[in-house]
Amino acid sequence: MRERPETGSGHRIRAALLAYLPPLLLFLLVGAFWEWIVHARNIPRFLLPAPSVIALRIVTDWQNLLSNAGATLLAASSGFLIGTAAAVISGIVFVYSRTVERAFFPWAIIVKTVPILAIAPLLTIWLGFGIAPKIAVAAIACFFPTLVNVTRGLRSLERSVIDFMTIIHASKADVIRHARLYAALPYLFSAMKITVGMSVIGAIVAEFTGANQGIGTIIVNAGYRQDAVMLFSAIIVTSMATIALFYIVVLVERRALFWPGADIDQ
Amino acid sequence: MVDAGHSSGVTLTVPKSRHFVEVSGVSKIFADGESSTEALRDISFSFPRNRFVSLVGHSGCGKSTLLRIIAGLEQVTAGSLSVDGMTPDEFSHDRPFGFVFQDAGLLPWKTTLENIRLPLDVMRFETPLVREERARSYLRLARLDGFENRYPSQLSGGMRQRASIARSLCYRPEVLLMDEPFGALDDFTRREMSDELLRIYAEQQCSVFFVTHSLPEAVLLSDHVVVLKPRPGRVEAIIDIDLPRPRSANVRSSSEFRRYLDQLEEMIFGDGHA
Repeated sequence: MRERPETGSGHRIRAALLAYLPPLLLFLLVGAFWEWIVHARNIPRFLLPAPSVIALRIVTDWQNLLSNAGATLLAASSGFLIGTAAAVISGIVFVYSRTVERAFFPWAIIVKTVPILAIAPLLTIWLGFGIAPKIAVAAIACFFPTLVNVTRGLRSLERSVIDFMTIIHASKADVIRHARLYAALPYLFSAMKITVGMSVIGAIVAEFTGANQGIGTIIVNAGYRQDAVMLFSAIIVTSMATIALFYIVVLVERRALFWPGADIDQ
Repeated sequence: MVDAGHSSGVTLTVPKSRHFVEVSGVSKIFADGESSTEALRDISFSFPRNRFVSLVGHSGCGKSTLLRIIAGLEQVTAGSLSVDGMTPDEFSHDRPFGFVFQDAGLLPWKTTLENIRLPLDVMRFETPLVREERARSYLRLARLDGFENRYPSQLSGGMRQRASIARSLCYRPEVLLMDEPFGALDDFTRREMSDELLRIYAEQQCSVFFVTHSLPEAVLLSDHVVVLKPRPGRVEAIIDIDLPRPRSANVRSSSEFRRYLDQLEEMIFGDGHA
């Protein structure tokens, strides 16, 4: 009896090790190989800096990196929230009225097909060098995938559920409130897990075309100086920040999809 | 039609006028582009209030379509249909039908209790407190005590159907429509469920239309069995089941029960099997 829980927790630790050890080992192995090849082959720093050099740069330059990454993340996450909210609201409107959907869907596709690289400078001209154009680009990047997924989710009710709602004279608003919104949640999160990364890319692209701060400006400047160490530092900081954002979405998802069998990604 | 072997207990009802539920000359054709399917042809029957009526027949005989027409979920192509002298839409405006689906149709994100309470919430019935009480009493009627906070995916198939029945009964419909409610259940659960339904029907009188594949189920539960024949769906016969009420599960072993069952089997499978 006393041994049961111990073996149980031992089991869990072993399972965790088995899950995290291989990727961790591979990560370290690649890092070690990278470090080794740079030294062994005497690769110049401006071509491919060793991981140790990059790590040192991140540590010494952390204040600069952090404040700029913060600016980018603030823009990205604001744009992400705005774009997602706009997509959810549009999806609900589409479900209310097929006519509105038919009228507006081509516009959504236009927004989707125009390359972000092309609208970013325009938005900078219109909105200035501050945070506004970054938010706009990030929001545009998130909008379409979320709209498509959410609309599909809102329509994903079982036939019998729709019939029952008809039988009890539920209004469109009641069907949305009691059923469609929940049915859409798994689709929404599945879209958000993809678009959260796209919002960061959107914000950085907007920073390329002119901004007073952000990871994008660091990248552009480092590019001019051919400072590969700084470029790598910026890449690493950005991906860590994006991973953090991704896990925030996952955390919210776990709370929001409270009912068993809700996760469509499994 | 079947000619020999009819006992005197079997009568074929002739439709009379001004019954509670009256179906006269109903036809239904599903048109889908170029092809069209005739699902029902010239269906007529009528029944008084508070009768338990089963619709049986081979698959493709339009039983479910007929049920959906009564519910107002489908429109007739020809003929007419009235409930208490009104169209289904008019009737259900103030007195919504109960409807139980084969797949239960519960909302996966609502608990058992929330699912049962949903129609009351949607209908803004009295106060939230009253709804809660009402839902709880139907939870008990369906013997789901202790499972009120479970989600549908955590219930067995039989429990989901019981919840679905409770959900449809809690607003006290005058007409309850059941579309093969036990069709997805295993034989043991199915038999338990028909016993449960017998008990529930005895406690809460209403007019029931019950689509089923199971003839024993139909005989056990019904006052009248409408036998349909397929392609297109037509009424072959209407058989009155004169077993005394209240019935209990062990009516199954009575000789009358057996006789009704034989008759139905003869009528439906007679050509090739008997």
